[in-house]
Amino acid sequence: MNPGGIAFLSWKHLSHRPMRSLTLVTAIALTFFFPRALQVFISESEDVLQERARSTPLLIGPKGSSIDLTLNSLYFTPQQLPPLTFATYEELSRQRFGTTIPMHARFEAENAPVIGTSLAYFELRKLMVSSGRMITRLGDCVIGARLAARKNLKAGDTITSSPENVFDLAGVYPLRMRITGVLAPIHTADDDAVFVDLKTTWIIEGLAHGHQDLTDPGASGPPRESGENVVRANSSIIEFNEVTDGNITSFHFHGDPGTYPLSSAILVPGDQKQRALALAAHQGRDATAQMVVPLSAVTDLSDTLFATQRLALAAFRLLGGAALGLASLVFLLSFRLREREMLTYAKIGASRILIGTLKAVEVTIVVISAMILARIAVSLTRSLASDLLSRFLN
Amino acid sequence: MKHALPGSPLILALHLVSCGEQEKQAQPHDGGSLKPVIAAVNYPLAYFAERLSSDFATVLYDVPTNQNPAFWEPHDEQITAIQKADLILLNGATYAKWTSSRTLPYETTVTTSSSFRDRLIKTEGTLKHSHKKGEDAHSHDGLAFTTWLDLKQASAQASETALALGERFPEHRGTVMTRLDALLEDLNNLDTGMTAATSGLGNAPVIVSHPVYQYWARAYHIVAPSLLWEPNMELTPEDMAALSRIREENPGATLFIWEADPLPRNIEKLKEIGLTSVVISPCGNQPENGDFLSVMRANVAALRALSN
Repeated sequence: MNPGGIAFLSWKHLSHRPMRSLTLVTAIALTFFFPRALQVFISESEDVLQERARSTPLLIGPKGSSIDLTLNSLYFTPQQLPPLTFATYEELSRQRFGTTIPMHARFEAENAPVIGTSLAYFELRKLMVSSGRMITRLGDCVIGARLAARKNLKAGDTITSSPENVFDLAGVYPLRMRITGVLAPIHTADDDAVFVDLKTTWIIEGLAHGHQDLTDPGASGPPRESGENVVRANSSIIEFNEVTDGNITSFHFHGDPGTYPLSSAILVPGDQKQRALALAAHQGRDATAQMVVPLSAVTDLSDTLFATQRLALAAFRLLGGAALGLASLVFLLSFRLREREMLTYAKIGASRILIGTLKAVEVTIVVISAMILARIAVSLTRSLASDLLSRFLN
Repeated sequence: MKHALPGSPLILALHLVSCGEQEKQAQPHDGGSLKPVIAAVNYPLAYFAERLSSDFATVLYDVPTNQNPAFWEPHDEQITAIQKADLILLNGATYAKWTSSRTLPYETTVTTSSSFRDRLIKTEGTLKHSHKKGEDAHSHDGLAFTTWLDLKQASAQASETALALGERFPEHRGTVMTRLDALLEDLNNLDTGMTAATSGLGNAPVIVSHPVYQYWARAYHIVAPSLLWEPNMELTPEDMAALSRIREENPGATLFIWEADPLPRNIEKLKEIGLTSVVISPCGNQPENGDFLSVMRANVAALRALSN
């Protein structure tokens, strides 16, 4: 029998029992896929993490876990550390170590992080507005491409900040924000975020607000404090939950701006000398903030991931061995059930070598199909790794 | 009492900085123009920037001449243009309220009054308010903002402008510093002239038409109670009653200061009650004729004429 005939008979048999063949191919494919996918995912994750960390030269934040600080600033994970004060940011700016970019990543809108920052952040991340325009005032926002697509939002729409706790009605100030533009996709966490002026996050935080004129008779409480020109606002006062052309001048800040919170600040030194000076300035024991090299923090995180990867790989290899053993058993049992069929082949003149070849071709077709399937799945994992990573981190 | 300004050490620091640092390449402006753009929130700062950088930068100052830059509200396109500027000069002291509600890049924004921020004058509002029980009452009137009318403070603001220009455009630092010397000399001469002119006024209080002369009054040791009059408004009996109350509280006043030329009828009305009108222009916005220096010289000349 020629090779084409052997392949034809093997194919006919496999296609005669499609469910059995498919189950075998899938089981073997998964056995190949899992360990390789884990390796690919961790390797891609490391690349993605390091790429974003590399483009973030230095981070300044409150003392605490450097990994928490890095993930919050780079991937907008929930803020675990206490806030940095605006006074610290101003002091850092005055020291002229380079471009200092404030970051406030505490709030959410439509389950997307609301990032309060300055325009330099867009330059740092090479974020371009693909439709609409950049923010120009309090209450304006630009949104990431993925968020825009997911929520079907565009320039001119609005998005409202979410309360941190639904039971805390007096807590975070829900602010309806004007979407002025949608950013071009760059396949990072920025694609899922809402970007506002730092001052807008302070409105959400309740440190700034706008309200109707308190000298308006309808706005103030009935009694004015005797002997003083003090108006006590009552619950009838209209506090604005949206910044408009008509009410923007009424928005004002309370308290000392130096105490206003930030999550962190990104420092982009102009040269190596500035970088060294900045690092040295934050080495002292009495420094109130910590300076982190994001690449180092990410490398530490990668090392932890590698340790986990080794354990997972060992487990996958054991499971893979068991799965391949089961697949072999299925083939052996299948050939046992087909003994009469093989006898018929022998009676019509097929040699033992030919029958053995027929069985081997069947196994080879299944294994090669499984390998192709596993390969496709690994490629898919590689292409989706950065997206998956940012979703896992959030 | 004379007050010390941190301006002199700042100027010395500027010269030291200008001598030592290596030159860096300035970033070209991406607005199509090869010249970088410097945005200013008021005319004095625009004037300083122009004097210091006229050959290598363009000054962006869009406030219409009939508006007060302190209360001007730019529209979105104007904000976008300002955002793209290579350097944005703020006055500080809550001047130009729009700067607190608009998005400006922190990195290119310089507050020119930062060297004397601990000496800014707080103004109490006539009406305080609180938002809830237990909260301290407060007003939003903030700070007196016509900082440059104290000409030593104007020098400090010019120096801060030069420092920012030198940092942003290191290749032009030497030129900027040379021009700063000339500008500071002009401002020092004005300050000397203003000191001499105001010393001739004696100790009598001077009534001012608008609450914009706080720094001028402090710098030149003048008691200057304030009204809230506009030069082109028709004075009513209520206005005259308010003036009488101020004169009762500040006896001996014979001089009344306007921000701009008042209506001739108003000059006459004040003359009838023994007050001489004189114009001391704060020059917050671009004058129709002349420039910042010529307006300030005219202010000094007007006061000097009274002494004579």
